[in-house]
Amino acid sequence: MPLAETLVAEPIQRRSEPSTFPALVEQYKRPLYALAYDLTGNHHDAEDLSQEVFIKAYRGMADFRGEAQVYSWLYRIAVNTFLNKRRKKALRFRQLWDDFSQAPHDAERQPQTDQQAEADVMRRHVETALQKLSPRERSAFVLRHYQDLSLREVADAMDVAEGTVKSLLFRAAKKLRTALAFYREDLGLPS
Amino acid sequence: MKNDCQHYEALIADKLFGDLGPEGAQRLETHLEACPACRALVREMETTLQITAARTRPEPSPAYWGAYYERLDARMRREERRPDRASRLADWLRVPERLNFSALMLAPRWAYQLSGTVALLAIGVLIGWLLFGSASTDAPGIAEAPPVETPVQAASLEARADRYLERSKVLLLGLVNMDPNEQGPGPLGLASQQEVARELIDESNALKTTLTGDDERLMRALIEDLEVILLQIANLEAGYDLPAIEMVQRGVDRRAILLKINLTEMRRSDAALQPASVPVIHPDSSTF
Repeated sequence: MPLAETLVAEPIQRRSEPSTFPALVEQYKRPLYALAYDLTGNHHDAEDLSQEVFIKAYRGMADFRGEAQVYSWLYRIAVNTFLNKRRKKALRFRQLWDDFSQAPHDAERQPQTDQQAEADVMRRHVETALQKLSPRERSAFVLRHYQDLSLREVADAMDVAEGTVKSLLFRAAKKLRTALAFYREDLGLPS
Repeated sequence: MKNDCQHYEALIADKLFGDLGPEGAQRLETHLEACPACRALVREMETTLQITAARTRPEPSPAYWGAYYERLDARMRREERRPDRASRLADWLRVPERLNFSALMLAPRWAYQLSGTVALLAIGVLIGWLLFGSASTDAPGIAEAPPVETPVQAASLEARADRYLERSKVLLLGLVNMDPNEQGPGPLGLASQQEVARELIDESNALKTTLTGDDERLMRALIEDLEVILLQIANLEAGYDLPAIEMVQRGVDRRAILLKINLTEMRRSDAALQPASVPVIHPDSSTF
């Protein structure tokens, strides 16, 4: 579910007392993890990124003006953190790790049906294709396509003009078209 | 796609993501009717987006969510204990805010000269601290630095972690390759494996409290995985508990422990091959 749909519509008031922080985490941990997973493509980096967003939010809570909605504030932190992160060194091993690791969601997995296995394979293909996008292309695509933010909201979260977002979305879709060409052929879709 | 077609990229993006207005739709339609390449491109992109939309995100287990805040809290506490240089510098710079400037205005000239000298010294110390990275600067206002790991301690910790991984791997390989139908509990069998497992559990606890850096997150995760298996081994019945042994074997397999150990060893050796960074030398250390 997109983060925007899970949040209250009205802006939150200034909240600086730490007692509100656990509630904030409880409310947003799932949607933020989902966003972080879409951006990073693996569980370990998603946990790392989502935690970092909360830590930055905690430190910035006293300065949060309440003009923006919480979700757009958190989105902005998440995207900026993702784009600023330097993960190249460890990424290769983390991907390898995740490929073979029983991440928490897999640890208690029951034997899969054929349909589940197929969905799992498809997910991996799509996630591999998403990794071929640049971080900025991926951010724009994830925010618009998976998180269902409006063009304006994506532009705000990424701190760029709407025209730039359109350009990033076009390039992302074009790259994905190439990366997933074999899928379209397999499924008998136009290719 | 011709050069002219590039002017329609924004409209194509609008069409793909549902942002196309009536006027843009008309313009794009006119172009697509005249341009088979763009028509094919749009069609392929649309089917690609259908494929990506069908992706389902894996959902972590309730146990994962149950412990989420606990892990976050632990990380925040770790980071609080290790203030970065920027925040230490900020603390230092905040000191003048606490001074009573009205009292300073009445101070004699020598006091200004003295404070100027002190300020220059402090700036010198600060520059030295920033340039040479010493963690034990005694400049006023800077928070007490956490103990700095010397290169020798770091190397010893690395060796200890490597040894832990190696011993765990040997133990698990022995257990995984144990044939329940042929092998009974011999003198070098289960009892000695359990003894090793207990030692490794102690070592797990020690390593988990020592390996606290962010770059050791995967290692800590592996240690936690290993701990579960080691505990199962240590708690096996004294007799030849075949179902329990098979359960442990399945656990090793399901959690891909051996593969994780291999990947961790690869990662650690890869890190060791990286060009060495400038060592942080503790000024009190006599080892260098």
